[in-house]
Order: sequence, then C-alpha cells, then structure tokens
Amino acid sequence: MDFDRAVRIATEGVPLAGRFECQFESVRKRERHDNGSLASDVFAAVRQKFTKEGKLSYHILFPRCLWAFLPGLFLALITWGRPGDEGRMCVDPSTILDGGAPNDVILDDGAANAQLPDTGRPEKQGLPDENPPVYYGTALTRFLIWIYNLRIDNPVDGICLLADNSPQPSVASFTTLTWRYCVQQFFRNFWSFRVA
Amino acid sequence: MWHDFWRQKLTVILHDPRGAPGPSCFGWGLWRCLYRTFGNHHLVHTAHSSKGGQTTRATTDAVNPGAALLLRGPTRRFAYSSFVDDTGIAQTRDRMVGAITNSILSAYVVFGFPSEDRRTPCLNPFKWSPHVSHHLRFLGYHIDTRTMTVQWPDEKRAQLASLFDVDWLGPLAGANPQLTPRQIARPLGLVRHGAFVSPMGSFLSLRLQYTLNDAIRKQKRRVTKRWWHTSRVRIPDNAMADIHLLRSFLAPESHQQLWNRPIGLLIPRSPTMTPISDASYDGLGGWALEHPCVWPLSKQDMESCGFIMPRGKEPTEKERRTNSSTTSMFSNS
Repeated sequence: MDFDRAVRIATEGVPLAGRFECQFESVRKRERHDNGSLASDVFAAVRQKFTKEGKLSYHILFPRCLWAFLPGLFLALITWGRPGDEGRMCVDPSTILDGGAPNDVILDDGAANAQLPDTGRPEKQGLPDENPPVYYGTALTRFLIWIYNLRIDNPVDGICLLADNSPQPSVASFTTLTWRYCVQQFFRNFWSFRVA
Repeated sequence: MWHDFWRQKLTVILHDPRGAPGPSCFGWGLWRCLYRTFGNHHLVHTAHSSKGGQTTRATTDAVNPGAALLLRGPTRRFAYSSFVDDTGIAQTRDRMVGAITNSILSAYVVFGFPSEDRRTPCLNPFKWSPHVSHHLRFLGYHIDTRTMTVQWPDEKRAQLASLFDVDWLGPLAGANPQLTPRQIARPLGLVRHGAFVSPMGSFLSLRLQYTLNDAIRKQKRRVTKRWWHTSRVRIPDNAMADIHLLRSFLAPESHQQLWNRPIGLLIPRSPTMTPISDASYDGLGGWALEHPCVWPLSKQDMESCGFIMPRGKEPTEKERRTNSSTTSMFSNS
C-alpha cells in the first residue's frame, strides 16, 4: 500500500501530475457530435438523471455557448449503457471520434483518457502520479491468502467472513473524488436540453 | 500538516487488525473518539456469527507464514481486500466485530460521515448483510472457511448451461452453428470466470477463444458495436466438441468437485517436500526425504488396480533379480 500517494490523492486531488493537450478542432468535433450516438428513447432517462444530479450539485449547469472561449477545455461524450435491466448514464472520455468531414485530416486527440500514460507499457513506467497502478485484479487472491494464513494461525477457531458492500459507488466513491484544482475546470461533459 | 493528519487516520484504521487499537498506537485519541461515536454503530450490532464446526487445516510454507507474521512482513497483507465497492473481510470470531467496525469507520472517514452532508451515507443499512458466517459469496465465488474451499456457484453453472442449450446446442443451431460474436463472447466470459476454480474450463474454451480471435482479426479495424450483434461466425468441429464436453460437466447434480477447489491450490505457495518418482513398463515407485517414505508399485499391482499395462518381452533373469532386490529394499525401508 502506498499511503503517501493515497494521502496526496485525498488531499490534493487527481491527477497528481499530467499533461493534457488537444486541438481546438477536436473540442469542436465533440461539441458538434451532440451525443448523436444516443437513441432517442434514452433522452428522457438522461435528462432525468441530470435533473437529479443537478439537484445534488454534482453537475453545475453552464452556458453551452461559452465553450469556445475556454482555453484548455476537454469535452466528454455521454453514452447510455445497459449492464442490467436498468440503464446507466456513462460519461465517456475514452471514445475517439472518426473524422467529421470527408476531407478532415485532423486526428482526434480530444479524448482525455487517451492522453493518460498506459501503466502496462514499459516506457511509461515511472509515471504513477499520472496514472497510478491499481490492484483490483488481485483482490480475490489476496483475500484467499489472508484466509489461508488466518487458518494457519487458528487451526481450530471459526473464521468469519463478511462482504462489506458500499452499495452506492456512484454516489459515494466517485462523486467524492477530488479533482486537482488546476485541471478541474477543464473537464466537462455537455448536454443540450433543447433536445428532448 | 494535512498530510500527517490523513496518514495517521489511514494508518490507524488499516494497520490494526484487532479492532480498536491499543494505547501505544499513534493517533489513538482520535480513534477513541471515533470509536466511541461509531463503535456502537447499528451496522456492527446487527452482525451475528454462526457456531463453529470441523475445520480443514492449513500448512505453513515459505510464503505463507501465518496471518500474524504476514501483517508485519514485506507484503503487508490485511484483513480487507477491496474490489471497487466490494470489500471482503475475514477475521476470527473474537476479532470480527472490531474488523467490521474498522471497515465502517474507514468508509466514513474516506467518503464522509452520515448526516454531515445532504448526500446519502456511503453504506446503505438496507443492503447490509446482517450475518457474518464461515461461508461467503464474494466476487461471484462461494468461499467456505471450514472446508477451506472456493466453489463456482450452481447458478453460474446453470447460467452457462442455459446459454449453451439455447444458442449452441438447441434444435435450431445445427451441428456447426453460426453465431454472432456476442453469442460467443458471453459463454467465454462465464467460462473464464469459472476457470479460476477449475482450470479445465480454460482448457476447454481455448479453441473457442481462437475462433473469436480469428474473426476479430479478419475484421481488422472494422470491429464495431454493430458487428458484435449482427455478423456470423461459424464454429469449427473441434470447438463444438469442446463445448459438448464442457456442457456435460455443468449438470447441477454431478461433477460438483470439478467446480470446487481448495484455497491452498489457488494461492501462491512454496513446496513443503520434494518427492522423487520414476516409472517404467515394469512398475513405478518413488521416495521422499522430508517425510521418510517410499512407494513401490509393480506391474502386477498396476494391473490389479485396473491399469492396462503393455505386454512386452518377458524380463530376463538378471532384470528379474534387479527388480526383486529393488522391491525388497522398498519393503525393508
């Protein structure tokens, strides 16, 4: 466990370091994209979600017409996933847009996630402040190792288990995430309430 | 200053497996205040544990010295393992309440205490399990600390069998069905989940994985969301044979042991003994120094156990004498 980095993330916000650059044309593409990938039947659901989260101030409404006057702005598309019966709104900073016009030769570099260093690439090692490594994949094995070693120390005693579930990750885990002050004003998603 | 404050809180909460830390721990005053406030939290009081039963032992080795040493070792294992919003807690009966309290307090320290924000608390009491037990479902697997085993649940097997029965082996599928990539990927994902417990699943899904990989490679950069739902991939004979075999292992009433594995085989361990063995057409045998033992099995022994042994030329008198002396050496030792 890297407590020092955890403390810095909790107090300074994320990312701890990074370099985000994109062309103005890439932002324009996203602004013009206007969530066109969404089917019309989910517009009402997305609008309802925005209204609910706006009430809790997770989203602050901002005049859309000002987007071109914010240098360094990154826009994220909004998509709608259906992992189960109920749908979920996903803010998508990963999708690379294909060129808009047929003669458009400008590559899309407006996806913020695409500018994060890949922790798996050797040449990007040593940049954990930009993209800290995560260890979700070993959670089950670590849990089993702990149980096995508990059994070694306690060969006869009962070992109790409990799955401590934080059932509202979108409310608790992700909305309490602190953005680093110097980048928080530049990450925005957009939604036009004229389309409904 | 804030760094030190947070470090103290996190260190106190995560480093102490016993529940409330002792007076020697730094930041104990802060913790005592939190503990008095939330140590009697109703989520803790709802926890009940079941009575003990017969348990399966575990063996120490170089990488598993026991929980007490593991806490202080270089790997620093703790009672908590988190996967996004799921945290598995394991502790002995007398320390379990303290471990749960630590977990609740940790969540509140990181995500905010209840009633301090208009946001709802991070822990929902209606979704909180009121029971602690030796048996737990965590990340889709059943873990049993009495038998020390992990099992792939019956419902997962039923789900996989249902996928095969409908899309792959149904009357409309034919001998070599043509399926969409999504129809291939869904059982593949399930099989890979079960393969953590049963490596056989990984082996039997290899050809299917290669079939899907080939289809993706042929598409090159045209793999779109629509492609996953609309294009068709023909399943080759050998992959279908694997699917038939895998389907036969999914019956709920049989092959339970195939989807059940001891924890000791799922974690990194180092060998505790080194047996040496060899075999020939005349039998097999071996020995081990750490636990002094030998085991000779002659050709006749193998045949009496049902093994079909090759019939070669009769051994010469010299070979028979050598075999006889070897067997007597094993018998004497």
